[in-house]
Amino acid sequence: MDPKKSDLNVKAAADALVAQANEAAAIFTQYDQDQVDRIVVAAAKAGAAHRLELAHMAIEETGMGVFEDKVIKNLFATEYVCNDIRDIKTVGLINDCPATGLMEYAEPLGVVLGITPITNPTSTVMFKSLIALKTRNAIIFCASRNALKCSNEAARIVYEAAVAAGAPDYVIRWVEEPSREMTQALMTHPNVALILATGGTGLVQAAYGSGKPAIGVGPGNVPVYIDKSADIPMAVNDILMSKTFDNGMICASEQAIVVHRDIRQAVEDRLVSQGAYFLKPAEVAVIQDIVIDPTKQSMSSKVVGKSARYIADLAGIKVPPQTRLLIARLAGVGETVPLSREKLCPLLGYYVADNLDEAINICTNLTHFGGLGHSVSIFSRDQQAIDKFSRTLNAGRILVNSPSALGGVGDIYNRLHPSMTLGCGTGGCNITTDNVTVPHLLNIKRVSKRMVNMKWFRVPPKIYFEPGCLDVFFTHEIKDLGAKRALIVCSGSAVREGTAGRVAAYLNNAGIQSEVFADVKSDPTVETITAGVAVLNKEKPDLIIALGGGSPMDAAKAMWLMYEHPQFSFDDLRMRFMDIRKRIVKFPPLGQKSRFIAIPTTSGTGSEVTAFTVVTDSKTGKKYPIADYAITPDIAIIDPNLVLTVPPTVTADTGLDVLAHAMESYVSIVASDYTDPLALRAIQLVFEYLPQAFRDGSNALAREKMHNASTIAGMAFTNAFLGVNHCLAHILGATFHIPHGRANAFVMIPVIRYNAALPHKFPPSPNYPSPKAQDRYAEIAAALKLDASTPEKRVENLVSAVAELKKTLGVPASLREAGVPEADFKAKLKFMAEAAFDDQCAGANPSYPLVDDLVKVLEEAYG
Amino acid sequence: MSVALSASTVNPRVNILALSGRLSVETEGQLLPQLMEAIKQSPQGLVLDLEALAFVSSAGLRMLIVVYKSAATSGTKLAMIRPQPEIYKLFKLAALDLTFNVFENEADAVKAICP
Repeated sequence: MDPKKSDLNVKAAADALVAQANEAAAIFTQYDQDQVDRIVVAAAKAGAAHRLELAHMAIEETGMGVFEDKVIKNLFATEYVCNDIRDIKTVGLINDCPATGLMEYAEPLGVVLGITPITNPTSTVMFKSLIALKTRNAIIFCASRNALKCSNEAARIVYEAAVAAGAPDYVIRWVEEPSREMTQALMTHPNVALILATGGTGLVQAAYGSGKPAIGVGPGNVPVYIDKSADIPMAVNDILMSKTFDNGMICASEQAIVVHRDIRQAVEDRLVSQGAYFLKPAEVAVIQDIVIDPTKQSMSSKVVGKSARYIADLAGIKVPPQTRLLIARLAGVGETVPLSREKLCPLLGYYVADNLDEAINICTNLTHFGGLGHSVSIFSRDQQAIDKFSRTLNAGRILVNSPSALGGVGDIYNRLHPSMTLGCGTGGCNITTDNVTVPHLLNIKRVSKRMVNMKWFRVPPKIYFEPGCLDVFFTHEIKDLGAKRALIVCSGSAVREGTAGRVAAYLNNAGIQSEVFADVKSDPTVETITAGVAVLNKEKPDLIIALGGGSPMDAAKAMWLMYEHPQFSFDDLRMRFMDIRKRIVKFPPLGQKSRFIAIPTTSGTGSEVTAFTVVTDSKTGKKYPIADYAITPDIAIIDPNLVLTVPPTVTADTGLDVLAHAMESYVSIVASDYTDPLALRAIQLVFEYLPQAFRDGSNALAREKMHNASTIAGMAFTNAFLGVNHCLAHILGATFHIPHGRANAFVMIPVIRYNAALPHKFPPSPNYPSPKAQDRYAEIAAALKLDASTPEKRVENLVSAVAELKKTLGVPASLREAGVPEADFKAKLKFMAEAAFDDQCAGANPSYPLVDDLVKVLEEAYG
Repeated sequence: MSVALSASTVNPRVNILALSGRLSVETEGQLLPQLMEAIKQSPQGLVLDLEALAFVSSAGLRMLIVVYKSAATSGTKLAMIRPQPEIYKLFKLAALDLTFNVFENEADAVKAICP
């Protein structure tokens, strides 16, 4: 079935080759790891067994290199490669990580087109064959025209051994009659999956330009820097060995020496003693004309892989008999210094640098002149010099204290992967800087299992409650804190009512000095906070006590943050996030300078236990919820004695805020077993005790229950977050100057109905697999003993209960009834809906809110 | 590698040839004559049931291609059913899935080749 190439035209010949390889690749997909590995070993064995004859063939056919070194390369390409890839998993499931839920499966590429060079013909063929067999790919070789026979013989040897070990027929193919048209036909063939191109720049560029996925190599112009700390005998030995290996034909071999001035004499003496010859200036000019083809501006094929003596003879230069390396002293790098180019023969450029920095710059120049991204080499025992060298230069391989040719191919002198295809990254117009090997010939398929996000329950470490706990705490526990200076942050009313004074007196008794910052009005602004921070910086307290309703507590939390971390800006604080754990701006923990005690005097915002604070931008009136667990207070004091004198309307408004907190955290997409009991309990407490507290503020039990409900709801929503009820309340409150709790109450019923219905947009969260808000509201109704036969009826009962509660508390049934002008409302409607959509609280809502949805909710709230 | 010939329960004029085992270089020699014989006995159509076929070698694949060509010239319609996913995949990679006329079940295959 071999195609008769003399009869077919080039395209038909290419088609035939690809068809065979494609069939082999298809059959190969059935093989398991054991079968594959046996084939690889058999192929490697056969290649190694024929290392001598293949080396002979290569020398005869190409006229380049050194026989003994070609034998070493053949052994390297079989033995070292086989050893390196032996245990790699390349079939089926190759990676399984239960912790991340990720599994990787290996899929072959298909048919690989292997372009191989004249410099390392048989070794590259055998290397590529092994890595293709290991990855269940078929490979078609397109060898260099002037190394065709030896390359194809290597392919045949490996192929026959592979098939004898069970590989599919035609798994390795080769072009018998190369031509540019044939290469082009293969490169663009639809059934070729990948081009693996090891060759000259033109060929590699053709590969990348063919439109086919390609992995290519780049040219090297490798500088070796001998630092003043170098082991000189080792450096000279390695350079000589490396540069004469196969007469300098490995692209990773040194092209120029850069030596530190301090050791130049020692290096030069050593080089000469070991067989290097420094060309005299006139000789450099002659050599230059021989070695570099002036028209092509690249090295002449006359000298590639030829010995130093041969080149010297060609140039008519007399050199000592033992000469194995020619060295040309050079000044400058570039087109005016032709010998500063890559020279694949035993000829090195030579530069002297005054210091490390100059040496690195010379290396930069050399690599930029036809070798960017390939390799660089340094001999040094100074780690800082090695670090600076490595950090600066663009090279895929940075060899340290090693020969660069034998070092660059990997595994002999280091732990790089053995390879005959060395990527140069973008510096060489390649796709990788890797030593190309097995992983590059696989399509990796990643199975990703659904993984739920970790959740948490974070609240202040200490929460004290019961009537009178303030007095107990500030008499006893306060001493355990070891504080010296305190700042009390409160509103004017706490001062007037004497609470601030009472706390100050306790502090004084405990030996703690204190000051009062009472400049906090409602809705703290950036300016308020800035003024507060100035006071903190002046007083330098180690204890901040926030005393009051939401505003002083929120202000104090923001002040605390800015006091301890002045590097944060207002913009940083209010960045919107999708996932609080993955946010862009991370807040460091607070407490280096001061601890924080929160004492609420309303029931309430829950701010004493939450990670949130709300700051108002006084320029736009917009409220910004700022969230981070770092601003959770250290201690919360829940003393209902402090709320006995709260007026009825404030009692009602703050109580409805508690209800909103609790309900939203119950239907939130991140509600959990930890927050649910708190939320439900808070809802029960509100329905039972808020009307009582409203009617008779001196009812101590009702006040205590509401005060506890506020904190409990805070503990729930600081972990389960809120929803559109609060999003809408924020913007409504800011736009029409409605108190926060009341604003929540106005939208509460439309929100319940909206959330309980089928979402228009499902919120994306791995922890929330399907809509359940309706059931959740039904559970709330059941907890309130509002039983009914169906979930829908339960929800409606809940809605009625809320309506009843609002009526009891004297809250108007709608915004219209509350006196918000219709024209104003309509004018601001779209703006409010968009602002609510963009509010941080929207993310945990059980329906991901579309702006149109919010418009309808607002309209329903308007009535 | 073994084969078993029977009449289709959907249409007794069409035969089903069930293949089981590995179609590899060792077995390919015996299968070809068996296939040709089955085709001779199935002028109205032959369906190859691949459910128990575990592996197809290079030679095995080429043999199947030859068989299909030969059946085409003699006028017998062929179809394949229930290939293992790995084997269906290799047919697809080799662009032979249409040539081999592959169906998921006997009823569809029989209807297609003997309407």
